Amino acid sequence: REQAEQVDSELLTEYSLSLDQLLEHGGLSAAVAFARIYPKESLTKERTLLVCCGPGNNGGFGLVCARYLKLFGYKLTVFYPKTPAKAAYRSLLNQCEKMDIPFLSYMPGDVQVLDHNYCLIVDALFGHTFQAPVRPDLADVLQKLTETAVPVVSIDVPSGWEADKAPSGSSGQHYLRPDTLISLLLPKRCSLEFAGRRHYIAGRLLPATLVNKLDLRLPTWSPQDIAFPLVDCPDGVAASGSANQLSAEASGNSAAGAASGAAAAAGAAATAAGGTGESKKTSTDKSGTNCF
Amino acid sequence: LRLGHALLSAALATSRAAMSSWTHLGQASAVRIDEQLFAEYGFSVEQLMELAGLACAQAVHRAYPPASELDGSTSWPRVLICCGPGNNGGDGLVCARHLGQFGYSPSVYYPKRTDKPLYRNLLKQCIGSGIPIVESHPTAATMAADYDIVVDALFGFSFKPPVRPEFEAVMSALSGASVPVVSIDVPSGWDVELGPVLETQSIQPDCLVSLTAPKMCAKHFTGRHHFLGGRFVPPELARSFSLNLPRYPGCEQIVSLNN
Repeated sequence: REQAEQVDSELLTEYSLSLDQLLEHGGLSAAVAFARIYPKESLTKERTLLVCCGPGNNGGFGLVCARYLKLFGYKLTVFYPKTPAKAAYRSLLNQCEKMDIPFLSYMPGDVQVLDHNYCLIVDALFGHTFQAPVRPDLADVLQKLTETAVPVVSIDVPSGWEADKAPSGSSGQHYLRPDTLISLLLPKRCSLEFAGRRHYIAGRLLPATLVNKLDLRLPTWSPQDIAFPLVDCPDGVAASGSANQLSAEASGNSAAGAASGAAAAAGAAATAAGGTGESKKTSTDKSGTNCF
Repeated sequence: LRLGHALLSAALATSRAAMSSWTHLGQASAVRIDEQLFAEYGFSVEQLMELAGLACAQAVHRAYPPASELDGSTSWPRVLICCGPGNNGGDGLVCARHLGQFGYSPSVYYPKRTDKPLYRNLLKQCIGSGIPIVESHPTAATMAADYDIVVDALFGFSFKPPVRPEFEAVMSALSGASVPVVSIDVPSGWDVELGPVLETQSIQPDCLVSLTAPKMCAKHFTGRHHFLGGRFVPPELARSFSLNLPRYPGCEQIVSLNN
């Protein structure tokens, strides 16, 4: 969590990356990852996505992602509960509206309405700065995402999780377990506990000098890509490669091995993605944990 | 002989017609579309520049991919990105950064820098990524010796002759280059509508990356690779300007305009 915040703050101050650039590149990369995992041809007849955006940067990434998904040809609705405080978010909201993307200000009262209307949900509620407990006005939204049978794709950190760890303790029973996690720039430590079917990394902005300075070990990207799979287990079967999940501490060599193994699996998985829209969200069984 | 000539003209006209079936923007339209993107749609320059630069880098990769060596290693081309003082130069700075991310060995030549936070920050990002900023003015000979590809990000569609003294050297180098030149949006020095107009400094790029929509001058492009990039045009804007553009495949950020 500390490292993630340090990366963000250094990018924005030391490297003078603007928030606009960060959100734009991150959101685009997330949309590209999404489109690879869930090609629109493979979705069910209804084909409508719901993109749930929170009040902070995670929501900002969600707004950019939504705009690109619309450009790529998906049908979608955006849930954006709050009037944005920052000018950057207001612009992004305006851009979405100008793309004729419909908006919801309230989540449906009954989770079955979600189940019925949407085939996939993008979770861009909270990101790596989140700390429990959830604020009251968004607790119900998170609850709906947790309960829905629709597969959830979380941006950067599954909402409700902290950057360092999944929820535990008395609230440990019922927390959001997304089908797919799209880590932005680099995986967060909590992704070690991620047991969903797919984990992608998206966004390529980390300057070499920052990587060296913070001693970050990153997976090997394929040349011109801005998004690619770290783990891809569509059937819950273990991918080849090391048991270590990639984190700031995992070794760079085993990461490269796992990434290329996963990339090969991803190629097969993409063509077999036909049933994705109809499959249920990963249950609380342990099938996903073999991936690591 | 006359029949052969007529057939050849007909063939050329047909292929030009195919190319020119896409919208080619004139100066006024290009300016108005930009204005709309910023004012009406609320995009920021940083946003669009980030996308334009990424598209250019991906076009370079598509046209000039790295070679695999016999020993299994990859040979990454050395790229010199020549950046001008305006937005075309800004696009070049973003392109350089992404080329570095991909694995290329970029260097930036940035002889005249406009003192605005936008450009200062982009330059800082390049420096922070470890990209060398070349101080000496390149010549055609040094370009050929030290680089495999040159990106021309000097001037865009607002350029009006003559070329200023501080750019004469690099323009000569680019027009006499023996390595492939990749021009961003408009080959530098070309008139956005008429094409090459300068007598002595006419750049003939091997690759052109048109941004948003091709410009009218692209009809004079004779290089091997023409790409469209800048996948951010909202459908409503495309409709209001009657833009006829090729579809980008899937989630790609560039599309080839070659036949």
